[in-house]
Amino acid sequence: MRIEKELMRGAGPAAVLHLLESGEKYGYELVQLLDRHSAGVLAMGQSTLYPLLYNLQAKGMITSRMEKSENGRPRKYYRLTKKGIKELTRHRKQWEAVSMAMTKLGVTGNAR
Amino acid sequence: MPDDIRETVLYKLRYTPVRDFLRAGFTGTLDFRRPIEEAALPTPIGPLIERVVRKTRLWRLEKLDVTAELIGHFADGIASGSSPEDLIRLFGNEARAAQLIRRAKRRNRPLFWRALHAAALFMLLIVPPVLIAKTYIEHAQWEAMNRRVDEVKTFAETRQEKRTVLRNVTRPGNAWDEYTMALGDYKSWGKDAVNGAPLYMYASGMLDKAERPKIEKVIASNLWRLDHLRQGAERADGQMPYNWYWKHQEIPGIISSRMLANLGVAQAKWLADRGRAKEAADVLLDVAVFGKDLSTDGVLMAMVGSAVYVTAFEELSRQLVAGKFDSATLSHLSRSLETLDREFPKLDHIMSSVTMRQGSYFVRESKIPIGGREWWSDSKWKGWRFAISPRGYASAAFTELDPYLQRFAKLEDVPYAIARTEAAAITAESRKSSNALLNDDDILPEFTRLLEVQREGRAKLRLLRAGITLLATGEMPAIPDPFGTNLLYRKDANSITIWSLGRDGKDQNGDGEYAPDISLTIPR
Repeated sequence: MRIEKELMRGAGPAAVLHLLESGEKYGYELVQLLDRHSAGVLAMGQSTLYPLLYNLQAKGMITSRMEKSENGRPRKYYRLTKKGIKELTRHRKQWEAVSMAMTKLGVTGNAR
Repeated sequence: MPDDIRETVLYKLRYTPVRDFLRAGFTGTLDFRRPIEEAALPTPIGPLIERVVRKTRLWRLEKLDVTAELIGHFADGIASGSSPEDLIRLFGNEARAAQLIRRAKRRNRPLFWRALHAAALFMLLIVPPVLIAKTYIEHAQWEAMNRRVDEVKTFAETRQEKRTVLRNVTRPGNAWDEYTMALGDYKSWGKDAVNGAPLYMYASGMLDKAERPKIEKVIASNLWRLDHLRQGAERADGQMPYNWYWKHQEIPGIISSRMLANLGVAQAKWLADRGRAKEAADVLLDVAVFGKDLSTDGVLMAMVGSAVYVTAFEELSRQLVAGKFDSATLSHLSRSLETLDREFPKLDHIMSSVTMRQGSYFVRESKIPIGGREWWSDSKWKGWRFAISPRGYASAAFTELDPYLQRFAKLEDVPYAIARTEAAAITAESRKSSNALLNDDDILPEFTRLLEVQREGRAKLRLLRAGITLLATGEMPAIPDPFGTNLLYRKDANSITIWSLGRDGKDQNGDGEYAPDISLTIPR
């Protein structure tokens, strides 16, 4: 199932920030995790992941560092900043509120 | 990357310092294609990364960063077992990717650059329309200035300055053909006529008796000038011809004009002293006509003309008070002065001359080529606005000046108190101008002073008219006072005093210490 573009725009950053909460990760790793943990629902076009990362970096929510991988290639690792953690908390509250409201409305779950 | 590739001539040419030097680089490490080649990714992936990175149009370092990231992405994908085709498919639209990467990467640029970028964008969006609007307004103003100057110039050059010849028969031609000969060059008057202003001293009666014979010789030797002045006063047209010299209108010599007037007054005094009062009166009337003919051109000449007028009227007053004139002469004077009063120089004529003269000057200023010597020297005192656009600067000056002149021209018949307030307001407003062309006293007159001078000249003429009528009929005529309602008078035991309120507009009973009434006292 593919998610609407507009919805993805809000969900993408929250998902990436959440994945980075458990530790620093590189681009392709994030692609794989998104695909795996969301059962493909949040698997964004891989090319859109990098602009998303750059945007989060511009906003100071994540930082990056280059490091050589096992095979000797340089690889860029991303990790959360304090600002990113705050933003993630904010996202969580919002998504919880949205989820609850949707459940109460009966859009999702078995409220009725 | 295989070592054999590194050794090819093509490789060396592409990545040697020579190429970097040519591209203003030093090491060749800023070329994003180099790491792509070195990564030796499967064929469809390398070109894909190259296309995406190239389309981002980012800075070199940013391109390198993106290149490294994408190489890592695809290398990790291949290492995890995905096929190049799958990776390319999952990567998505390359153009869209390049666009999004560019947008996001630029957000990571330094604050200084983003501020500069925003400023540049602002300049790009705001400055051209402002410049276009400014150019349009400047051009419109410049065209309006040219139209107005041409219009006034045509009017001035074709107008026949109607003025009645006061004596003898009117002769065809322009008075200035004669006046020019009478005035001559300032130096042509000689030291005896110039040093110590002897003609003025003689004319005003301030010269020692012992000195008089010497000056009378000067008068006699310059009588030919007076002949020209008097012949000029008989000509039908008194309009000063507009001789344009490099866009400037030539004007008669100011000192020569005053000296010529003093010569006339001195000669009149000489004649009156010898019982030839009628001839003296005619000479003075001719000097007055010369004064009127002088006054038709601009502020400066209006001031000079007014001074010439007043010189003649004051001598006529002195001779009138001294009882030199018989009844026939008085009657002749009465008619002549009434004509002079009717044809007294009008403010709108004077102002249209100012518009024409200054407008022509501004038109010339507007054509000063940028970068030339004149532009350079003028820019020093006119400032940067002139330096940027002489045309805009001169047009703006004219756009400011013309309404002032038109406002002032309407004050001719306005009661003095109101006219003075308006003239003071115009002067104050005009003095506030930031345009250096208008801060020049030669260009923007002191409107209040001009109003006063013009009305004082007229007041003196009217006092003379009233005095003559009073002497002839014994009745005080109702003649308007340029500074009040009507000229006032009082009868004393041995004299009658007639007065105008003068420039303070207040009645001081024919006198006043600091701002005196303008008066004429005639013995009874």
